[in-house]
Amino acid sequence: MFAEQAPSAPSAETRPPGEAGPGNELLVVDGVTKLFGPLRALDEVSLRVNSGEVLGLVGPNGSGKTTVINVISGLLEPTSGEVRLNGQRVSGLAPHRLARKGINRTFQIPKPFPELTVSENLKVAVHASRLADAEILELVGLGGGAERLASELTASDQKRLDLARALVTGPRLLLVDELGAGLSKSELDELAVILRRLVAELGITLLVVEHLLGFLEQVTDKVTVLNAGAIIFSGVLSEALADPTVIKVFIGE
Amino acid sequence: MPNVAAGASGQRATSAQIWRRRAIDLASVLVPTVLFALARTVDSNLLLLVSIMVYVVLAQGVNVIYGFTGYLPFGYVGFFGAGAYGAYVAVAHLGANAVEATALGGVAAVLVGVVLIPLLRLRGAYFAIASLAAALALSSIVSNPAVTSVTNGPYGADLTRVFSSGGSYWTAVVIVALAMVSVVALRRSRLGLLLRAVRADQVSASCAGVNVVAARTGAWLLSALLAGLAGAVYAWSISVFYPTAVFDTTISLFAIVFALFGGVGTVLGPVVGAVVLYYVYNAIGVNDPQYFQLIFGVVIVIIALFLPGGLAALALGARRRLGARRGLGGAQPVGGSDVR
Ligand SMILES: Nc1ncnc2c1ncn2[C@@H]1O[C@H](COP(=O)(O)OP(=O)(O)OP(=O)(O)O)[C@@H](O)[C@H]1O
Ligand SMILES: [Mg+2]
Repeated sequence: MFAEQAPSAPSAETRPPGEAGPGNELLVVDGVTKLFGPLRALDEVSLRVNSGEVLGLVGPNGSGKTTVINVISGLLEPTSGEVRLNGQRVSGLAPHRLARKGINRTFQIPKPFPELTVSENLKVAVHASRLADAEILELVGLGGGAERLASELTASDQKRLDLARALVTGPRLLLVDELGAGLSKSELDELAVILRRLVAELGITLLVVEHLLGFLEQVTDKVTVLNAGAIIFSGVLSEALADPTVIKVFIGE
Repeated sequence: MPNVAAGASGQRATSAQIWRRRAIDLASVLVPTVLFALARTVDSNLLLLVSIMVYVVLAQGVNVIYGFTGYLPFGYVGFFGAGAYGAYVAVAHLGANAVEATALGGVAAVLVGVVLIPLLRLRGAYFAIASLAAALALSSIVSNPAVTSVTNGPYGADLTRVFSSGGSYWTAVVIVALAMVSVVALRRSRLGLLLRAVRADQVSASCAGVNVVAARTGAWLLSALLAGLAGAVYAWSISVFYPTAVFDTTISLFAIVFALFGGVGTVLGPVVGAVVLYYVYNAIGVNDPQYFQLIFGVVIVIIALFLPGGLAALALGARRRLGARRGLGGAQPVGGSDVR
């Protein structure tokens, strides 16, 4: 599926934000509610992401960003509502099935297999990318480290490995959870370039959860703001920063 | 990064590594097999030798399921009993010869394993308890007077028609070889890699596209097969047995302790563990099994607290200290030994 994709789908930058070509919607999150006991972690959340687009997802701690990713990637089943990929209902499928359907993710705290080498970490994954493992390692900036044990990598390299492992499965939709946290300025710039290349050269659609707005704005200007499990803003990043509700939520944090 | 340097040092080093690995694999299979084949020239007590081989195979079976999935099968004896009774049914009702019956005992255990696949969805402690319950259930089904026409119920199974101490001995040697091949092959296979990944992080593995239950099922059925073959050849060698003898929970316990003591996740650890501890048991424990179970209980606690990698970890530690840290040795733990 991945190999059949045009290598250079239009990037987010070349397209006005908010443009929703019908039939172009890759991901639809439709009225998803997720309860953890009494806690309403997600409350009727609806999102649409067009193919080839990058959507930022921001919000204060505990607002439900990771839960959104967990639901889309199949780790959690929504209490109600559904997730569709290319119009096909995918919520309720196990993560390994979703990985084969082209949805993959990284983890807020990277989760490599520590006792395996970097290349073994990639070998575990189902392979559907048209890039070879070595090319993917090169792309994420881990070239030359293939035989190192994952547990010996720095936190920043573990994030790159998480990303590489997801890329091996040839995702159409990649969910990125706080890739920027804890990285230096130069590492952030480098990762922003990598994410842009995923979109421009591999045609991957991205949902980017991010606290660091300076990093996010290097990748997209389209953003959805989550607060206490509900969407309070959807639109252009610069407008979000001027929106009174959004300001209140972030200042009140 | 010494490993990076080694990887970059060219084709010759790599092929030398491959040959070294193959030699280790071959030796891991041949050494125990040949030693057991020669053992009868040293010790003429064939029943004892078969018992040790049976425990070597059981310990390897535990190694496969626990070492590669982290699941502790307290009900492991269920497969052993299924193998013993599978062999009995094959001889008594299907007219099979003893070797065929042994193979069918393995098949019977695999079928039980297939029925129990849903247990692999459980988390560690629940799995341990559920597998124990399943073994007890199977035992009470087999020993029920209502199935006397099939299993002879509580009155015991009689295989004296096919008794052959030499035949069961040599078959046990072959099964030991099979167990060694299984573990070596699993370690080198893609399934082995997937299981190591699942064991390290089930969520990551699943997101990487690994069907976690399917991967565990592979290890589960392989370990069922080994226990079934062990149970069948044991039944053949003792030829008359009661349900309580082949569904005795002590058998699970012994197999687990032997495997842990030697070192799960290694190829030779469980063999050494089974041979050493079974000899100790045979020397002092047979007359006073209760007392011996106490000792084994203490051994489990000590291993869990102080030596999670078993004897193999000691050996590996010594090798590390000697600075001989090279490649994949014969003894390398797959992972930690925590129960998950
Ligand atoms: N598996 C779970 N069980 C119970 N509660 C959970 C679970 N996962 C998340 N929560 C709760 O749901 C809410 C949303 O959590 P989530 O991790 O999605 O927030 P987040 O926006 O990603 O926060 P952060 O910025 O800190 O990563 C929090 O109150 C959290 O405690
Ligand atoms: Mg989060």
